[in-house]
Amino acid sequence: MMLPAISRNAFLLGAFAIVCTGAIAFINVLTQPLILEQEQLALQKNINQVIQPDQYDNEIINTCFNVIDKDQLLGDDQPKEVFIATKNKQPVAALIQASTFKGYSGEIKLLVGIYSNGVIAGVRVNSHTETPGLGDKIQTNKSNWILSFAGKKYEQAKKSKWEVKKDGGSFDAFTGATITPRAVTHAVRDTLIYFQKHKTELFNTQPNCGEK
Amino acid sequence: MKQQTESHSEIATENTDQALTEKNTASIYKELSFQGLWKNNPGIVQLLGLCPLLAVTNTLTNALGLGLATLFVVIASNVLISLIRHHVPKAIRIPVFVMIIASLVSCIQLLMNAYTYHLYLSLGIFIPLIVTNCMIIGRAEAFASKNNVKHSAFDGLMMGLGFTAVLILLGATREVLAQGTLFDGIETLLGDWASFMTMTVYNTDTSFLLAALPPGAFIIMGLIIAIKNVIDKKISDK
Repeated sequence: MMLPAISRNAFLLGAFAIVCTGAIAFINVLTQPLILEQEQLALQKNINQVIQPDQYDNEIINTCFNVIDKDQLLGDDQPKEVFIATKNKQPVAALIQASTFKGYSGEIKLLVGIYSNGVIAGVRVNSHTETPGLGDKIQTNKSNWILSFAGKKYEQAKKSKWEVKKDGGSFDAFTGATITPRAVTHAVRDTLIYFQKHKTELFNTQPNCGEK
Repeated sequence: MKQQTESHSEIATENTDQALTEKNTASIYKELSFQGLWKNNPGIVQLLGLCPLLAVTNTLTNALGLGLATLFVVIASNVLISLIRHHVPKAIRIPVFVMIIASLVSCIQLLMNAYTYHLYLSLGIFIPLIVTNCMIIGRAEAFASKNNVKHSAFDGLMMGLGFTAVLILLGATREVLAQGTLFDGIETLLGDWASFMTMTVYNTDTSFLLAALPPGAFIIMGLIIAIKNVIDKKISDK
C-alpha cells in the first residue's frame, strides 16, 4: 500500500527537480555571454585605470599568463595573472596581480602596472576586506592615496624609502590606519622586486589566457 | 536546510493568516498590507532574514539592491507555490518549496551578474543567501500554500516591501551616520544616469565607524524595533 504513494512522491519530486534545473539551465545559457562580456568590461576598466589606453596597442585582456613565485614576493605561492602591454610589438609594461595578507583583515588584492624601465604606471586595489571608514582609503573612490605610487621605482640601495612615513619611509599613511598602508606599500615594493628579478622572463612568455 | 524548515513550522503555526481567507475580499488586501508592512513585518516583528538584513545595510544602495532582489523572489515564489498548491502532496511540499525558491534565487543571481555586475560584486555572498531568508519559505508555507494566486502575489508584495522598507531605513541611517552620504554607489544599481542621486549630507574626515560595522547594525536595528513598539503602545493606549 505504501509503495504507490512513495513512488508517486518520488516521481513528483524528480519532475520538479527537472523543471527547476531546466529553468536555471535556460537562464544560464541566456545570460552567459552577457556575464562574460561584463567581466571583460570590468577587467578592461580595471586595466585602463592602471595604464592609459593610448600607451599600448595590443589586446591586453587576451595577453596574459599565470606566474607562480616561490619566494612569495607576490603575496603567496598561488598563481597570479600577469598582463603584458605592448606597442608596435615592443613590451611597454607588465600588469601584475599581487596580494598581501599583512593588512588588517584578510587578503588585499592589487593590480600593479610597471613600465619596462621599472617605473610604476599605477596601482589599484581590486578587492579587500579592510575596516570600512579607515582601511578602505586604499580605494580610489575614498581617497587618492593609492595614486601616489605612480612614477615611483625601486632601488636596492634605497630600500628604506619603501616604508610609510611612520616607519621612516617616504609614503604617507592615512589617519587612523597604519597597518593597511604599510601592507600595501610593502606589497607594491615586493612586486617591483619581483619584476626586476624576472623582467626578461615576463616579457618573453607566450600569453595563453586568450585561448580556452 | 533541515534546521531552517523546522524553525519555519513554528512560525507557520503561530501565524494567523489562515483566518484571512474567511474574511470578505475587500478587506483582505487591506489586512495583507497591514500585516506585511507593519503588524507582522518580516524584518522588525518576525525578525526573519536578519543575516542579510544586518550584513548588507552598510549603504543605502546595497540595502535597496538586496531589498529589491528579495522582493522579487518572495513574489515569484508565492505565485509559483500558490499555482502548484493543489498538485503537491503534503509529504513532499517542503522539499518542493525549497527547490522552487533555490532555483528562483539562482536565476536572480545569474540575471544580476549579467545586468548589474557591480552590485552583484558588492552584494556578493548575500544574493545566494536569499535562499536562506526564512521569510520566503515562511510565506510559502504559511500563506501561499493555502491561498489563491492573487492573494499570494499580494502577500509576497507586501511582505517583500515590508522587508525592503526595513532594509532601506537601516541602510540610510547607517550610511548617513558612517559616511555622511546617501545613495553612495547608486550607479552600480541603476546605471550611470542615476549618479546624480548620490548626495552628501555632511562632510567628515573621521567617520562614525560604529555605524558601519556589524555592532552598529544591531544597535540601530534595536532602536528601530523599540520605536515601532513605542508607536504600537501609543496607538493601543488611545
